[in-house]
Amino acid sequence: MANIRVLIVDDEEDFRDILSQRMVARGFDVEIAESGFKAIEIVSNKTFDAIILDLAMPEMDGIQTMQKLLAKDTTLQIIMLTGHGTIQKGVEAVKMGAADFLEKPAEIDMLVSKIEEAQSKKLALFTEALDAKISGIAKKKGW
Amino acid sequence: MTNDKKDESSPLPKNDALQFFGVITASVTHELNNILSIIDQSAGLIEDFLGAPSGMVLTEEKLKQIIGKIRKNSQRGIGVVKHLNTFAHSTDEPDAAFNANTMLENLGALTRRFADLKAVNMEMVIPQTPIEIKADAYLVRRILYEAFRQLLALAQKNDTLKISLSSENSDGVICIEGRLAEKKGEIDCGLLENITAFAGGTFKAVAGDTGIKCYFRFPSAK
Repeated sequence: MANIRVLIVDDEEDFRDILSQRMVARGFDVEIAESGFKAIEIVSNKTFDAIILDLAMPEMDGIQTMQKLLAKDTTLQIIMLTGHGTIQKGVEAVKMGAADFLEKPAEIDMLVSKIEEAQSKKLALFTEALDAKISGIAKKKGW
Repeated sequence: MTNDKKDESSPLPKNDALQFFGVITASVTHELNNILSIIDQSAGLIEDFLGAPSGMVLTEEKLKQIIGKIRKNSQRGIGVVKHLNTFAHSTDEPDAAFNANTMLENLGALTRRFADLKAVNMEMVIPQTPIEIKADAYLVRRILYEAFRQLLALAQKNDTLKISLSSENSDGVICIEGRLAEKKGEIDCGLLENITAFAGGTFKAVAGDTGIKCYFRFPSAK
């Protein structure tokens, strides 16, 4: 089975670097982006099972980035990382389409579990879409 | 004037100080949270290596790299806490003379994150020679932050906010300049003037094609 593909989006270089090493050690395929702009560029060329997105980033914050990403692909599974005082923003992010949110500093096991949930959800959405497509074709053909 | 009487006649809203401290501490604690997250994940990475099967080896080079990140971010955190502590003590002696150089360094460090989040550059020009001014230390910070906040609201990506300090005719002059590619609004000069006067200084704004300069003049302590 292929590894789970994860994109980490955070403007803190050390955080991206350390977290990606920890994820790789757990068998994930990891890519990193230092900004929302870079994330959008990467996502337009590659597929990810989950996107770990920092809320507070310069210029384009996590919410803006998420909106732009979801406008391109509604099946993207975004896990928002928030600070203590911005939990409400995390809740808002979920209402706006994020798969989940986690408070920083996030426990790695919790993050891994959220990523695995996100992958299952993405797979379910994919299967659902595929079933709908097959049903549509079958209906057209009169099967 | 006693502090209570001063509070009553202040042009600022009653809970303004609480809000100001809230805005600054919220921003600083977010930065501290980011720093602690890096340190926490770094410790976790070392644990990963120690508990991992043979495939993952913690070499001396790797360990040095992780320790380097922990050290760098610890130092960053210590700097942030020092600045926050200095800021917290700004109300200790409201009418005592204070060093404007260190006050500006402190304010610059605490507000830089706001500029960073908007991708606006921040320039600090602080002379080596100490400039002592006699004014309400808290209100001076408050008024400078207000000017910074208003100019930042007008600024766009790659614009610059420049904060400088100089001495003129025995006065201390602080200038906050917004170098704006496009000037899309004005600042509230009335408010800035009122609070500066209340803090014991005078205010002047100069608007030009390339932006706005806010001058705050306070009497020297000597």
